[in-house]
Amino acid sequence: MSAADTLPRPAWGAPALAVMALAMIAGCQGQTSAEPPIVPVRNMHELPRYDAQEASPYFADGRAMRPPVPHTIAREMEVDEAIDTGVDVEGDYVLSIPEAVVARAGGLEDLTRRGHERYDVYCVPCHGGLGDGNGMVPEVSGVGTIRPPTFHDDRLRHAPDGQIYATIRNGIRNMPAYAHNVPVHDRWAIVAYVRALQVNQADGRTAALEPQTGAGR
Amino acid sequence: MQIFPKPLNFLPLVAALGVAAGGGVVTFVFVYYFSPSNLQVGYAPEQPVPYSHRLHAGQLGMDCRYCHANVERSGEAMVPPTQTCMGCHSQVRTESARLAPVRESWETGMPVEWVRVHNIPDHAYFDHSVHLAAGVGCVSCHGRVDRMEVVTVQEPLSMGWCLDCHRNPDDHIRPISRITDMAWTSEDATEAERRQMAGLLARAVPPENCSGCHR
Repeated sequence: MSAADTLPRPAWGAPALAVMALAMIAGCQGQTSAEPPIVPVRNMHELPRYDAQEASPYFADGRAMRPPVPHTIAREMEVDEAIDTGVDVEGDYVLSIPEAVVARAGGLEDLTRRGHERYDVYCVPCHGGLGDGNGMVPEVSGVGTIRPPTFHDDRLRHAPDGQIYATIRNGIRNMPAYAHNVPVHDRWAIVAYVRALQVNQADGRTAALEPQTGAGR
Repeated sequence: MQIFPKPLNFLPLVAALGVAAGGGVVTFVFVYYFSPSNLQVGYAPEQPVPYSHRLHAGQLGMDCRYCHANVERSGEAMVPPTQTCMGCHSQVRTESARLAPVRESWETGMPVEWVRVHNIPDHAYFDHSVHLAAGVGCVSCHGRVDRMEVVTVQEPLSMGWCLDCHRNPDDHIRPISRITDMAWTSEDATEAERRQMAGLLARAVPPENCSGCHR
């Protein structure tokens, strides 16, 4: 009997099995889980401050972010009433897009281009790319009541710019107000683009305008 | 007299191999399982309302900014207020049980408690608007959200991952008009778009210094 037989042979099988078992338990990288991620090094990972939209037990509504204090004006708020509301001091709709808005956008062409971009984001789902009311939402939802009217009739062709603006701002009938997600200048830009659409569609042309954006095509 | 048996001559070799293998396993376990690629990626929390991005952004083709309206103007993309949901859902699927928390929020004024999916450490600063203005699209960091029934973290969101792009932004710059277009790839770029991308790339100054993000 030689000395070699008395020594234990290195057992590679056991560690290899252990590694394989570990891999099977731990799974592959990046598996889907509803559990919050583990952060191994937590130094300053959570600072004692609130993130945007974080919950806070301090306020009754549970929000850390506070609504604007009544009768205060934020820096980015529009101070010109006619520009802000689309209604002038006499209570009539502003007839055309205010000069100041066009000037700040760098001209009517730039304003309309901006409007095209914004229209494709906020209006296309219901009003459709041509403004004829054949959007995706009325089609898919199958609810007849929310099919919006076409822009291409005399009623809306002759509506003052301020009325279209006020409709975006305040909503009308089934259309919700867009004041909270479309800022003042973008609302006027959309008005400019709606006007461009009305001109484009006036003689019955139906050539589709290629939407500039749109997440899923 | 021979004290140690002859096979012990192999002991240093076996020990060295054992240490190397053990070290290899430990290194692998750390790199593979303890990295953000494993810990962050795949996080898909359950939300109070099973909102489907695949339906809204994918099938309906709604732009990301319809709801995440602040993404171009502020550092935060913002989860939309209940008002945005109710804009449509005051008329569409008004009886849906799954939308009950939204209607309750609308009636009570209390927020829907959405769960944050993409969370970077508090000691790192990130600004959505800057990235969008530079031509970095949603899909670069968030993946194909328009195909997700439940939003899932796709990228490690680690410092190394950030720096990969800050050092080589070429593949992640797209025309501003395609910023939210999840299906668009640089192969689809028109000649004008290529020129715009080259311009954006020439202007891009992604910080690589510490204080760029840790401020």
